[in-house]
Amino acid sequence: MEHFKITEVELWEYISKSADASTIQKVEKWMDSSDFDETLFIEISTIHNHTSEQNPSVENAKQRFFDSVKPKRAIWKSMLKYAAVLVAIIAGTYFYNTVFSNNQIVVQTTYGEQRSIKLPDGSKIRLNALTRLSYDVDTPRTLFLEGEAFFEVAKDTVHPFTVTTPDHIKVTALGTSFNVRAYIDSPTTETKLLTGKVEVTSETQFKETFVMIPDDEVIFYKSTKEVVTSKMNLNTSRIAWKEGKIQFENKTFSDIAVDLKAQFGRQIRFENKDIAATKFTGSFKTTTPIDEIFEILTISKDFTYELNQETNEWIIQ
Amino acid sequence: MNKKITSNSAKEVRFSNLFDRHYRRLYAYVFKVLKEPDLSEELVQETFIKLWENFDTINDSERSIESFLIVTLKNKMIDAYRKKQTREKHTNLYASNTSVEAQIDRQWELIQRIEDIYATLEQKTVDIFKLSRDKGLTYKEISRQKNISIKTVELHISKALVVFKKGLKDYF
Repeated sequence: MEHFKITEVELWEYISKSADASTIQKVEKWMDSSDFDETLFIEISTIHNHTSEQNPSVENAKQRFFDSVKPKRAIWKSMLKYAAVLVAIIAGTYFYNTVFSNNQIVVQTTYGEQRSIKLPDGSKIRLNALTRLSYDVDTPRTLFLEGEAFFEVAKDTVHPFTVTTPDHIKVTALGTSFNVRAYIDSPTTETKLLTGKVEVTSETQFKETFVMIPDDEVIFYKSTKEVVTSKMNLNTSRIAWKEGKIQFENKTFSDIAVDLKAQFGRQIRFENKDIAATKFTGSFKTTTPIDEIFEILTISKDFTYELNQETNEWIIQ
Repeated sequence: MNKKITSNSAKEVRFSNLFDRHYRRLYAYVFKVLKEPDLSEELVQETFIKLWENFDTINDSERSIESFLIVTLKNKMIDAYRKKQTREKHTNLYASNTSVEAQIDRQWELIQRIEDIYATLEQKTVDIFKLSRDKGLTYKEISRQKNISIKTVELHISKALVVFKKGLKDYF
């Protein structure tokens, strides 16, 4: 039987790829033979691995560093901090107060908050985050909604139940349950019907009356004034936010950002239009940290996200 | 009041020296963990910027500056590493259970261990070993460059390997 012997020095030569043809042949024969010592092979290649040296350019790094620390930015920084505090105070007063003016009743939720209310007529409403619902004491079935809410309407055939959105979309219901999403910064206003029957009309945006039956979805596109009706996807939760989920199907990132802002309370600014227009499909629990959601989205589309501590907003690039 | 560097130009000279002393090592550290050159460069940059911004509050000794750099960088690495793990978790790839921090600490120990090993070797052995490892030169090329026999080159390599084998035995 043939015997093969290999020195560490030869093995090192082989692993560091500087061996000549005859050494390579010798080592490979040894590896195929019964004399092959796997432990030794692993040891030498581990040494090779661990001794690898990166050779970054210190000079380039230094240049970059001084370029970024030298500009006079100290004054601006401290001023921005005060501006952020001011904004926070204004935002705070705005969102936490329930305002009574004239005979108007306003119910609102802040970032990440959900809230259930019951109207005098017995109708139940669940408000999603960052939502404002208002009505006049005398007409508690005529509501104005900014944000998103789910309605379970008490039956009253004499008094129609209507929800009007900031873009003058009006949803009229008898006894029924439905969801309206009408965030001002979203490009769409959406109505989803679960039970009963509703009508979607508008005094200013379009002439048609859209009569919805259960599982219908009516989406109004603000920029083109187009109305699209479709069936809800029954495989996904129909009103995801009520189950503590953030769900989106083939939605643009800028529209998803509307929900993320309502949930997590920070503005999201897009510095790249391409990424803002990218469509995503996904489902997350509302307890998922926002940076984790971003990180997962980067798997299908490469972008960077960074929290600007001074302006307290996420920058997407 | 302790005397702090107040003029910007003195601070720049100081930082230039700090870069020369620490940059490669810190870079090697991040790279070992994250294996991404651009990200490694970015994190070390951010670390130095943080030092620049907090320079007045740090005790002006070489030791506390070094530990500030390492701690800052380590936190940035943990953050970046977690992001990486999140991605792997959601794409159903391998996600390790050992703590991020333990893994990162181990890499730092390894870097120091290797520095220590190099320190115990003769300078001549280190030079020859590095010509083989970093420059990828053949024994013949090294012998010509150093004007020594191939046998001597092999002897130095063998010496280095023996010491590395012993020194890194916990890492095999």
